[in-house]
Amino acid sequence: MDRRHFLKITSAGTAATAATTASLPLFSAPKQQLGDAGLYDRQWQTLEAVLDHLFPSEADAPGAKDVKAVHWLQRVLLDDETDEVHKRFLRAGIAQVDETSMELYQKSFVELQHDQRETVLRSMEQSKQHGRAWLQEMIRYIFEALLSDPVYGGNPQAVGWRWLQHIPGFPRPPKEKRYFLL
Amino acid sequence: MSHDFDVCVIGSGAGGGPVAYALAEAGYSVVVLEKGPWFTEEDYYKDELACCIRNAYTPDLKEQSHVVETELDEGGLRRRETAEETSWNLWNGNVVGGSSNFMSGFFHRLKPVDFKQLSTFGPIEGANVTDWPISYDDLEPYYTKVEHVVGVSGRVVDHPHQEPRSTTDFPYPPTAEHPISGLIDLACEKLGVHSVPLPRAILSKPDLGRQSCSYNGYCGSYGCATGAKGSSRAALLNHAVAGGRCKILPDSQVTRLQSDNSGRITAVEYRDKNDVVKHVNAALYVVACQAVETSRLLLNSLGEKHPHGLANNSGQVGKNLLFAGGGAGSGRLRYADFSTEKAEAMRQIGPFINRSIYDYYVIDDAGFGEKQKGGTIDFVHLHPNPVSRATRQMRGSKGLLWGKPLKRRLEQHFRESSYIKIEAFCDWLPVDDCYVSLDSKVRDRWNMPVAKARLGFHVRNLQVGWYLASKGAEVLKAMGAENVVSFASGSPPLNLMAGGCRFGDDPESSVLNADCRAHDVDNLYITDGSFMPSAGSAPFTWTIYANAFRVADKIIERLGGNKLQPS
Repeated sequence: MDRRHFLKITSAGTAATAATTASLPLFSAPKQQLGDAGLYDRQWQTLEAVLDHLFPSEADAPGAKDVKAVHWLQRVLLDDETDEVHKRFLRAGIAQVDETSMELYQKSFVELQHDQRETVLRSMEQSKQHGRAWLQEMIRYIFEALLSDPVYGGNPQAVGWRWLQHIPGFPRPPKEKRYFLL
Repeated sequence: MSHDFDVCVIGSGAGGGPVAYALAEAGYSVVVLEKGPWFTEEDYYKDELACCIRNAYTPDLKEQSHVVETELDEGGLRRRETAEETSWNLWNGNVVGGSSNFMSGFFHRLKPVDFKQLSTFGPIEGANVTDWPISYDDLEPYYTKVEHVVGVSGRVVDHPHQEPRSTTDFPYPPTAEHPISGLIDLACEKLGVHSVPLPRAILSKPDLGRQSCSYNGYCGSYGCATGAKGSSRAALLNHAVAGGRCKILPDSQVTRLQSDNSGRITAVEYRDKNDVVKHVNAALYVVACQAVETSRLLLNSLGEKHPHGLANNSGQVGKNLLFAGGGAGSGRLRYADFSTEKAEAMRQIGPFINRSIYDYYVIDDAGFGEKQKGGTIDFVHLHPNPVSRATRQMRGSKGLLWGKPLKRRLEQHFRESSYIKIEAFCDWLPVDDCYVSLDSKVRDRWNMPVAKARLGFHVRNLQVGWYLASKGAEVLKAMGAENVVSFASGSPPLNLMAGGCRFGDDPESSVLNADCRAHDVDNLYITDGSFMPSAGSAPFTWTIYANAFRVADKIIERLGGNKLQPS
């Protein structure tokens, strides 16, 4: 069970997402391309908007953006250790967000106002296509990015721990002892 | 006939460690095969992803799974393959030292009544209750040995259910205690029940070549970074290896025990780290892979004299699988209800609660029915794991919480209160419908059939579990806790498993004799929790350790006594 390859894709992948999610204006790509993680560029923007809605940034309380939750999801989707069935489930949920959004508002999710986004996600929660399970999983992954040791790339400067006054245990894992290197 | 080793131990946890330690101490050569890697204190960090979310200490379920069958309320069975439904993971720590690396170290002795349940209380319909072939007095010296060799910290107090002891007190003083312990004592006094200090297999001061506890608050589920926790690895195997007579082979998956036409084991077949098939032999073999895997290994080891699996001529291997029955509960103490100073003390994490109630170990309550076996109530901190705790907050009354309401709830949960959990333990009654067999479809990466665990349970587990949990809840209420809830469940705690190869005097109804040697296989001993015909009404790691030391003495005696100190 060699998990070392994870390290490579982790560092390479993070940079790639930073480019696609942070600097791309909406629909700027001339032709949508399926990336390594099996998502179109546009879908990364949908995902980021969903995460932001589920866990918004506030002045004194970090949100999904502040803990790099979208990068966390990207690593999960690129990790060979992640079960293929689970990856398909994660990708299908993102597609379902835009489908639901088009159905209700004839617009993609990123173009919607806050209340419309709420309606789309609540509608997914009620849907029969595992929408609720997908939303739960999104929130759980936000919590991983919020509250795991910063050595894994989320929870920068322990912002999540500090916010919730959580005292971490020691010794904390050094870089070379992250779980996939054991 | 010459052998590679005097004794071959399969499995390095609480059942295997004492045998390796004692045999090596007595001058015998021992090899220990462990399917998992050899991590040390240098590899254990307080990393929730590693221990509890990505499961770095257990096998990949896609390659090594189990099948679990549970009863449906409406009748019939539900089949689950654990690779698909990972919440039913039956692996508990597959590394050198086994799951004892990840225990909380709640150490309870069984009590004399546990050894003679049938003769004390009579039969229970639908349960295979029996007396043990040994008594508490046979095991007492070994409970004491564990206190000194593994290192148990505690304080003996006088109470009606105190079991007999050959020494007056524990060799190590109790581990540091949290202010909540004092609140429990006061509440129990008010209610007229006995709040008893709970012993821990954790060193409260440096000794035995190990450091003291560092009180960082992340103990159960985590590997210990100081060596204070009395895992089989830190407390026993490290010493055995240092002595030069014990060899540990990590990353070695045993696939079969080979036997000859007399029925005796001739060799162990295993796969090394590179999946190469290898063999090792010894005069005597000890299996201690934790209940489910021990039974599976025997059932997978066919031989001329063992057409239904090794030691299974009575058809008893895998039967009467046990867990810990019981209930649970929790309550919240709001910091705002305490003075600033007290609230600060309450906020600290690290010191233990260490309190148990044994008053209901035997329930003599006309309102509950005839006098019967009850159990133990433990009080513990809520597990500190922040991701898991946060995840439990997303359920709202009208659906999922998200957005700012979710954030406010997290703030309230993490910042404003301390939580106490009740863990109530009663017997998991042995029943026909709780057993291990081989699955006919699913195989592991070495093409061996995986274990299928049928997890039926007796309704008495639930009744006693409810009773105990509600008694625990009364204590929480008397402490002034809010949101007090208590409940019982028929779902087994998968980290506390025993049975499957019960010991007894009758070869027709048991797998092992009183010495934990297989009735059918002269050179096979089983020393994990599999031997237990009943598992007591408290976590049973101490009993597994103690019994393994007892069996080690039987093995030493059989091999000719202590070679280094001839008598």
